[in-house]
Amino acid sequence: MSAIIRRYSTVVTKADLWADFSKRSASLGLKDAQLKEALLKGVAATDGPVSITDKAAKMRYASTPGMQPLFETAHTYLQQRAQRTYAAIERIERQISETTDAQVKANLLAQKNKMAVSAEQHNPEVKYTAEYLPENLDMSQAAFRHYAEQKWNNYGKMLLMERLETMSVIPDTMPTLNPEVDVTMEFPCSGASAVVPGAFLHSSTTMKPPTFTIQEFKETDNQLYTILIVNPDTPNVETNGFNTTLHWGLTNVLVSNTDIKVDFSKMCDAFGNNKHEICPYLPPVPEKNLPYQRFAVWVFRQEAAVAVKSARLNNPDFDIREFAQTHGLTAVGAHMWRSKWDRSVSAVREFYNLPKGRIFHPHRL
Amino acid sequence: MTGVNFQFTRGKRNKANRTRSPATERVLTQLKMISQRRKQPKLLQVCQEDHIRHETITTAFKLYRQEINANRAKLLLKQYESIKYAMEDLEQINSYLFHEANTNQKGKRFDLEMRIPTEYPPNQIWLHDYTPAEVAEKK
Repeated sequence: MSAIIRRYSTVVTKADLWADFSKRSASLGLKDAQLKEALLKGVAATDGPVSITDKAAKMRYASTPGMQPLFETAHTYLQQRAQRTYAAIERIERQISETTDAQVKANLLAQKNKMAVSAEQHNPEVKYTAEYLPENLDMSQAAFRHYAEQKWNNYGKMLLMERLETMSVIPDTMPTLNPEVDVTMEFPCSGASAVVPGAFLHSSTTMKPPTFTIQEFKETDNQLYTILIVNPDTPNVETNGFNTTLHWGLTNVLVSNTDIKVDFSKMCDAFGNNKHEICPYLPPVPEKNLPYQRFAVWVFRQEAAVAVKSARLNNPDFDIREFAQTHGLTAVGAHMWRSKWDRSVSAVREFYNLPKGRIFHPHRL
Repeated sequence: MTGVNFQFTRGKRNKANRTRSPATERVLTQLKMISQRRKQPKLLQVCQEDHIRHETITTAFKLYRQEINANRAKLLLKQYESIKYAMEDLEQINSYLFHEANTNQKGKRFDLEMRIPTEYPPNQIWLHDYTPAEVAEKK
């Protein structure tokens, strides 16, 4: 092993880029000094690892011997690469300030973002934070966004697409989706836990409007979004079919990389007025003896602020595709849940002054 | 293995409560030794810090190898381009030499009788400044 160290330590010289926070964000370093020491200098044989809390397990733990010289060589080598990347980023920034062409500028910005990821993604402190301290991720940093996106790509995104496609929300509402943002939804009565896409929710849970988080993975500060909740399963007895109902609509919702919460109660002024809602929240009130209803949440990215002509919003059949087209909206994220008739539906109807529900003939096979 | 009693006994196994014959036990032990479960590598249980330290080392080595391989590929590409241009020039200058340089040398082998076959090659391949002793005397 010592031969390997001797061989490769000739290619690196000392560098301490990742210990310097004068130009880099402080969130890229570990706040816990003990943990930082254990990560960079090795787990002390006397104290045991900081990440293990159980005292007996701490004492029992034996770290791999001979790791420290290898780690130091690797750490220095990676820092040197990062230094070269930072130099390249500076060069790109100069080019960006010089050019006037919008297309060239966009390409350079994309290149810069990629380099910002590669400059920090192998930093052990960043890696540790991304892997083991997910609640501390500073989403204004490209490297953290990269790790968050990877995690979402591997599970959340696939789960969402599976649910949307197997339950035919695609193509019953919008034709298709290329998910770019991570949307989570929470109801005030759902016990402060995020709803899994496609879950069955009780009508008492969905009585009050939900709150959302919209996580962008590319760099954004003032991006506007439109959020629509539609139900493509409203029964239409005349045509013996189903209509689409708009249950809730919010436009010009401002979200950035760090401020991702969409909480409607905070958008209203003291009199309950706001300029985001295009139609008031209509809670799910499924009819008795009918199959479950799907509630699709669609999140659209806006080019600019939109003014919605609310002429149609109460029309029995809402055309979401036409709405998106006329307002120049691009679908970037979605969510969904399902509801069936339950004993709380009548109470919800009463609370919102809705007409009494109909009872359909039970369908027997 | 027919007729083996697989009934489990409560508590620690000993001679008093054993349900299988010693011969069967021996066969079972031998089978357990070669079972698939034993062949699987044991999961390394390292703490979070050591895991990230290990990842850092392997990533750095991977990137270092990538750098070396990329440089080598760049050099080989340069050499190939250079040879290609040289051959193009040769074709323009002398088509006979170009043809000779490009003929397939399949079947051509190194003459085995050029040297005596040995197990290991000598440290000194040949005596490049050899002069016969008698000739030196005559002078």
